[in-house]
Amino acid sequence: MLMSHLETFLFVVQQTPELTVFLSRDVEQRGALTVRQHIVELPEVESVRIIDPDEALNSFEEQTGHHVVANYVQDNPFPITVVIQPTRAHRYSQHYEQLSNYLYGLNFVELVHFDIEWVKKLSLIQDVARVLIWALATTLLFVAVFLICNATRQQVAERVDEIKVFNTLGASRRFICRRSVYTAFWQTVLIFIVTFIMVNGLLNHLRVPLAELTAGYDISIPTLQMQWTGWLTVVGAVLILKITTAKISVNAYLRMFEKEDA
Amino acid sequence: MIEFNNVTKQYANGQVGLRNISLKIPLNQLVFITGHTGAGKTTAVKLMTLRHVPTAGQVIVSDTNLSELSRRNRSRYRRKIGAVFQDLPLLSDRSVSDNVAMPLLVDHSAPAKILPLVTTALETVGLRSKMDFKPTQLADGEIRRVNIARAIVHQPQLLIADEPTANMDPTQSTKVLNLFKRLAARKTTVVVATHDRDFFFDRRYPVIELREGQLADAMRR
Ligand SMILES: Nc1ncnc2c1ncn2[C@@H]1O[C@H](COP(=O)(O)OP(=O)(O)OP(=O)(O)O)[C@@H](O)[C@H]1O
Ligand SMILES: [Mg+2]
Repeated sequence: MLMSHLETFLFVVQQTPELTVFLSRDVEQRGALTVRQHIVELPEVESVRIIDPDEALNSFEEQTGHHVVANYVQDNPFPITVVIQPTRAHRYSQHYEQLSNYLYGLNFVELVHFDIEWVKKLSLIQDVARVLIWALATTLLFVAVFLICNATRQQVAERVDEIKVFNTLGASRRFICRRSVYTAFWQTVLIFIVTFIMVNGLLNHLRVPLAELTAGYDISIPTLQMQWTGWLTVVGAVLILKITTAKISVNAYLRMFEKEDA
Repeated sequence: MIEFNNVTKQYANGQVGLRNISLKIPLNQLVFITGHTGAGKTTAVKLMTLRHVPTAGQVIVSDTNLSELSRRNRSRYRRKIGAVFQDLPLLSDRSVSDNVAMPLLVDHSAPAKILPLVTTALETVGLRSKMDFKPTQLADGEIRRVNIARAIVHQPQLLIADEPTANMDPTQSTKVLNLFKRLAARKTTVVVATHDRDFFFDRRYPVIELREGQLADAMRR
């Protein structure tokens, strides 16, 4: 969940990398539609846009900064242009190579253009971001696991006298564990309530600025609200972690007493 | 009958608590175990209460070899007997009555039975009025008596007590002795480890004397 949030955020600040496909000059609108049909069906393609020659000329000017219009008022050198936007998952250089090879294989395709440097840079940014996000997520996870385990262990340690008395009086392991397990359970419920309120409060606060941030970029943030299944997974994991830790610590003490008494 | 058959208890550090000792303790009466300090009294108590298992030999209680019990039955045995230990303090964070109730909780007694049994046990040791006190608010002798109440609250058939009258004045320890006599009269087996010679000077009860982990002399009456 964290991953998708941050990735979404990253994409907010990125431009959209497109492939520009120039068709042969003699291709008419019908031919262009056929090509479009082929491209649209590809899984790695998010959207396809057809640009007529006039528009293409303007677009080229914008990209290159050359003022060519004046030279070609009479005879527009641009063919029909198809602009392809790959899906997010397919914005790595190897995808561009593949896609471009495929496009060259199509009828009517004359030239495929994309900014390989830019794509490589983007790939790199994505890779770095991914590693960073994973590192961050893993670190957070370890910290959380450590804190939870440690707190639970501490609570069992505080009960050590009671455990000793119960054990000496002949309590079963299950009986001795039960109190720690109860404690673990109720604490998890408490942690859940507090976290739920905090996370939702945070998201509510962030919603407005994020909406403003993304407004200009035609990007939606679909997974910002944590799903019920997500909450359930987290709560379940914490519960299992706490109960397991409680049981392990109690059993460790029981073994210690047994050894002392041996 | 409680039997020790050639029992040796050697501790992990090499110290020998009991050395090849054989003895028989009859049931349904009061029996004393005595001896100088370090003689092995506590070791014998812990073997009978299954806190220790012998290094060699057998401890047999009512035809059951305690070493052969499964973990589950070992816990069961501990629940059924009553024990006063030197090293099992009261829990300071809960009241006297909660401490006394612990054997009942462990044995899953019906909640309705707990309070009457706890009250009875505390009455027996003369501490009913201090039910709601914390152990830290009690005198040493009173703490010992709460220990005894905890050991008898579930009305065990076998009561084993290690120095139950330590820190008590003669009046108090006589009361405790009388309590043990009463219990024995009601067919409870009471084994008391003590070096308080006042306890058995009248020789009406069997006395087992230990000396350096061995029997000082055979059982006598
Ligand atoms: N947990 C233990 N680990 C190692 N040695 C022990 C342990 N408990 C007792 N011993 C040793 O076993 C011997 C018998 O000790 P035990 O406690 O049975 O004596 P005791 O008769 O109860 O003495 P006291 O009257 O002082 O309570 C002693 O030499 C003691 O040092
Ligand atoms: Mg002792």
